[in-house]
Amino acid sequence: MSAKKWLMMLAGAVALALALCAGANILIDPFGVFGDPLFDWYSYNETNNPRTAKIAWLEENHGAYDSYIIGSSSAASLEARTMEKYVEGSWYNLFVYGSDTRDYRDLAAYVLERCEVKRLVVNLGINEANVYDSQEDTLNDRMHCLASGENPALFYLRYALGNPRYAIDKAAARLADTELPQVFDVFDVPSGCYDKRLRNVEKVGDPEVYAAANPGSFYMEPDPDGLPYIEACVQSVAEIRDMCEERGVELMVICSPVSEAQWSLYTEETLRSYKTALAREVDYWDFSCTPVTYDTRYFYDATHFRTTTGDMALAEIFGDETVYRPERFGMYVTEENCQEWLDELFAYPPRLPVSAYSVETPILMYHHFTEEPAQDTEVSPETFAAHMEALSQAGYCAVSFQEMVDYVYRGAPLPANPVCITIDDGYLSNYEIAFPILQQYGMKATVFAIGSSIGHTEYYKDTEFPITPHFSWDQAREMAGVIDLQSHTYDLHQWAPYETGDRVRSSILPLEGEDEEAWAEAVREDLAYYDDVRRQELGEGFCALAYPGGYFSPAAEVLVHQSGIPVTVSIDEDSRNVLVQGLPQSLYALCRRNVTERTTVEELLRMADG
Amino acid sequence: MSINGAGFLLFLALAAGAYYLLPKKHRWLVLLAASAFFYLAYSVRAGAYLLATITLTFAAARGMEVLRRREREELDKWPEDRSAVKKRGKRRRRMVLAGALVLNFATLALFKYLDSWLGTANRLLGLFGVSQAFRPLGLLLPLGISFYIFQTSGYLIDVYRGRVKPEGNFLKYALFACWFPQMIQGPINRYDKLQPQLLRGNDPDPVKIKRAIQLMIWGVLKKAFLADPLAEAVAELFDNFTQYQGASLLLGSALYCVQLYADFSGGTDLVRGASALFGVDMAENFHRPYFARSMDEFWRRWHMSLGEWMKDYLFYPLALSGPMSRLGKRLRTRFGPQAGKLAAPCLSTVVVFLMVGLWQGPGMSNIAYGLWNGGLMSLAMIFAPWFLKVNQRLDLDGENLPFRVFQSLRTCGLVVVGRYFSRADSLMQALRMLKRTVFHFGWGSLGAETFLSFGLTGTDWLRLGLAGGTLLAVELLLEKGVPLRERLDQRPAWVQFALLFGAALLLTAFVYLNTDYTAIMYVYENV
Repeated sequence: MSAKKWLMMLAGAVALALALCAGANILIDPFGVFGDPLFDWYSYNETNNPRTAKIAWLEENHGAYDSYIIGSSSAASLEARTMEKYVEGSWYNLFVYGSDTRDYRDLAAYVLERCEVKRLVVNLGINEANVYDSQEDTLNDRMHCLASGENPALFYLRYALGNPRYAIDKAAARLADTELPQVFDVFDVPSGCYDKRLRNVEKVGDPEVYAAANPGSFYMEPDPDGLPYIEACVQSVAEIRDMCEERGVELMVICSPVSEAQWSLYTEETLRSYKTALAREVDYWDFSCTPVTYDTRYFYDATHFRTTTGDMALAEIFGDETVYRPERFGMYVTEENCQEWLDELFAYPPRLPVSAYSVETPILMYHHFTEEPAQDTEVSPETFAAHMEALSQAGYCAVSFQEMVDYVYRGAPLPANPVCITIDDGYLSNYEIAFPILQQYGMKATVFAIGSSIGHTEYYKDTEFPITPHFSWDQAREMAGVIDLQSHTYDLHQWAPYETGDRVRSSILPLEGEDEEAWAEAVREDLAYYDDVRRQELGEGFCALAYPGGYFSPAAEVLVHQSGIPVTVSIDEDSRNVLVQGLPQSLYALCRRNVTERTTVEELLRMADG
Repeated sequence: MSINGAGFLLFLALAAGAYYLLPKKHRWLVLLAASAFFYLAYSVRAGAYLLATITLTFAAARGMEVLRRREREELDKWPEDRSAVKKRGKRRRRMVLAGALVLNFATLALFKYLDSWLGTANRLLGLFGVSQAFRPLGLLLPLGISFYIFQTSGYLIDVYRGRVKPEGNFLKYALFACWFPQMIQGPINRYDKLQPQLLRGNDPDPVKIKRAIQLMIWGVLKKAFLADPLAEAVAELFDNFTQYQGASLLLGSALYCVQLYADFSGGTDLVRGASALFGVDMAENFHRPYFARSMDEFWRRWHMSLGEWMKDYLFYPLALSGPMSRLGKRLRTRFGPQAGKLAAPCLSTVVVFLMVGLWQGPGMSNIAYGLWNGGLMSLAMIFAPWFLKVNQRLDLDGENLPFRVFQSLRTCGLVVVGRYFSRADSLMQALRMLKRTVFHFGWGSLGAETFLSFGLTGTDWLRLGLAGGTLLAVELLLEKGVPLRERLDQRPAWVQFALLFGAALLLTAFVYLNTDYTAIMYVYENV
C-alpha cells in the first residue's frame, strides 16, 4: 500500500473514531444537551450539570410551569410543592448548585424570554455577595447556550466531543440505578428540586450526636475579604427586577436562613451594607438571622438550610399558622424599614435558649404482662403497677405520639417531664392487665399492635399453631384515651412455620435477594392496608410505627414517612430522643429503653430521666 | 502546551502545513517561529533564559572561530613559530571554551541544583545551631534546560575540536538550540547531524510522514496505556513504602522500570515523530534496553543520546587525560599490567555515571544511583577475565538462548535494584526500602491481595497486562530482526485499516478527548 493511501486511510480512521465517540456522547448524552434519546434520564444529567440539563428539560416541558425559583443549592430547600400549597400555579425550582447572581440573571433572562412566567422567586444567601461570575469552563459547569448566548454550534460541538468517560459512566450508572436517589441522580426532575427522600430521613435530635455525625460541616474558613461582590449581586437582582417589571411578572426575593457559622464570618458593617444595598433595589423577605441561625440542626451544613427550615420560611411568608416557627422568624424588608430592622437585629440577636424549642422525651418499652414472667419481654402486673406508681409520684407525665407530633410540627407545648410508655405487639394482657393499672395511676401508653394478629386469641392467622392471645378492635376502642393503638405493621412481623407461604416477613427489611421494587410495593401495600383498617376501626390513621424487631433501613424510613406516618420507633437503647420544634427528623427512629421484670423502680426512673 | 493534548496535534498540523507551503529556502524560518511559539507559550521568562544561553554559546563559538582565524593569520605571519602559535591559539580557545562551559553549567546548576544544595547546607548548619542560613531561590526550572545546556555545550566542544564549523547566523543557530520537539525530553542532538536537516528545506515525503505518524501513535499509546496508569501505583508504593512488604516494593521498582521506559521512550517516540513530520530525524534514544545482556549494553540502549554525549565529551577526554595516563602507569608498576590497563576506564566510568546520576537530580540518592551503575560496570570490567573463564568452563557461549535470557534477566534485576535509588525521594528511603526488600520480603504476601493493594484493580491489571504484553511482543519481534513495519505494509488494506481504526479509537476516546473530567460522585457534594 502506498504511503499516500495509508495517510488517507488514517484520516478515515480518525474521522470514524471521532464520529463514534461523538455518537456515543450524543446518544447517551450525559449532560442532557441532546435530548437524552437513549435513557431519558434527566436526574442523572442534572446531577452532572444542572446548567445544561435543567434548561434542556425546560425546553421540552416549560408549558407545564408558570412559576420559577432561582438560586444556588440552598434554594433547593424551597420546595416547589410547598410553593404550590400557598400560591396557585405550577412551580419549577430552577436552582443550580454552585451558581452566583450572574447565573441567576442569565437563568431569569432565559425563563422570561422563552417560557410563560407569572411569578419568579430569587433566593439569596450570603455567598451571593461573596462570589460573582465564578463559573468554571468545564463540561460540568458550563451554562446552556440558550441562557449564556454562546454560539450554539460551538456549544454542541464541545459536548459532542466531550470526554467519552462521561458517557461510559452514565451507561454504567444506569445498570446500578435504584428507586431511591444515589450520588449520581440527586434531582427530582419534575420539580427541579433535589430528591431529598434519603437525606431527609436522617435522624436529627441529640445535638452532640448531630455534631459527631457531621464533623467539620459547620466550620467555615475565616473570610477576611468580606463580601466583595455586594454591588454585582445587587445589580444582578436589579436587572432581574427590571426584566420582571417589563414583562409584568411578579418577583419575590427571599434572603434565606443562614447558619451562625456563616453569619459570624462577616462584620456587622459588611452585613448591613449588603442588606441596605439590596433594600434600595428590591423589597425582600429576610430570614438570614433568626433563632434557627443559632442551632446547627436546622441546617445540613454551614451553607445549606434544611427543607423544613425552608418550609418554615414559606409558612411565614404566606401566613400558614399550622406550621411551627419561632418568634422573630423573618421580616419583610423595604427601603423604609430596613435600618430599623437591622438596628434591632444587631442590638438584640434572636437567639433562644435551647429548652424553648427542644425537649428530651424518653420512651419506655414493654411487651407482655403475665403473673409468671419467664422472658425479658414479660412483666408481672405488680411490677408494672410499681413502675407506673413510681413514674406518677416522681412527676413524670406520660405523653402520646400525637402530642409529640404536635410539639414538633405545630409548636404545641408538651407537659413537663414527658415520658412515653410503649407496649409492643398488642397482646390481650395489655387490655386485661396494663389498661386498668394505667387508668389507676392516671398514665397513658401506646400499643404497637401487629395488625394481622388483632383479635386472634387461639391460633396464628394462617395456621393451627397456638398464639399468645391478642386484644380485639372492640377492646382497642374501649382503651382509647388511655392506650393509643399505633402500627407495628400489619403483617411484617411473622415467622415460619407460624405463618405459611414463601413471603413470610419478620421485619420491614427486604427478603434475601428480593427485588427493590417488589419489596417497596409490599411495604407500601402493608402500610396502606393497615392504615385503612385503622381508619375504619378507630376513625383516623396512624401517626407512629414501631419497626418489627427494631430492624429498619433508610429506604424503609423513606417508605414509612411517604405513607404519611410522621413517627418511627426503633429499639435502639444507646441514644437520646431530643424533640426539636420544626424538625420532623427529630421524630425519626426514636430509641426506647427496654423494661423487664428485673428493672427496679430506681432503674426505671433513671431511664425516664433520659 | 502539553505534547499529549489535541492542541499539540493542531499546532503540529499548522506548523507542518506552513512549512511545506513556504519556498524551500525559507522553510527553516517556520521551524524557528514554531519553536519560539512553543517555548514562549510555555513561559516567556524561561524563553529569556534560553535566549541568554543561545547568545552565550553562539558568541563563544564565534569567539573561538575568530581566535582560530587569528591563529591562521599568525601562522602565516610567523611560520617559524608554528608550534608556539598553535599552542597559544589552543590555550586561548580553551579559555573561551572553559569560560562558556562554566557559565553554561552554572546556569544549569543555578536552576536545577542550587535550591537543593542550599537546603542541604541549611540542614548541615542546623546541626550547629544555625537556622535557615540560606533562603532557597525558588526559581522556575526552564523547560528542557538539561537538554539545551548539554546540546549547546556539545556544540561548543565540537567547535573547539574543529569538528564542526560554527554557525554564523544567529537565528539559524537559535533554531538548533531551541528546536521544539527536543525541548520536552530530548534527545540530545548533535549539531553536525541536526543542523543540516533543519536548514535544508525538506520536501513533503509521504513515506517519511507515514513513519513519523506511526512513531507518534506508538509513543502516545505507550505513554497513555502503560506509563500513566502505572504512575499512581508506583507513587503509592514508594510514598508509603513502610506499609508494604519487601515483595511489593520489589514489584513496585520493577513496575517503575516499565513505567519509566514507557513514559520516556513513548515521549521520545512522540517527539521524534513530530520532528520527522518536518523531515528532521532526531537521534535515537532507546533501543529495547531491557533485552540488554549487561549493564554496559543497557547503557548503550537506554537514553542513548545522553550516553553518547557522556562518552564523547566526558569519558574519553577523562580516560585519555594526562593524569589518568600517569595513574595507569603508576598502578601498572605497582599492581601489574591489568590494574594499569583498567584504572583509567574504571575511574572514568564511575565519574561518568556519577554525572549521569547528578543529571537526574541533585540528591544523594541520585549520586548513589550513579555510583551503583558506575560501580557495577567497573566491577564487570575488573572481573571480565574471571567471568570469561567461568563461562568457558561451563561451556556457555553468547549464542546459547537460555544463557542469553539469563543474562537479560540478570541485567533487568540490577536495573530494578538501581531504580530504588533513582525513584526514592532520598538515599535513606532507598536504603530502608532495600532493607525491607531483603529482610522483610514476605513470601507469604505474594498473593492476589498484594497485587491489588496499591490502587490497581483486577481490570487495571488486565489492561496493563494487555498493553505490556503487546509492547513486549513487538519488542521481541523487533529484537529478533522481524521487519514489523514492512510486514504490516504487506497486510491487506482492511487489516491495516482495522489496526488504524483501533489505534485511532483508543487515542481519541482515552487520550485526546480524555480531558475535562470529573467523576459524577465528586461533581455533587452538597444538597
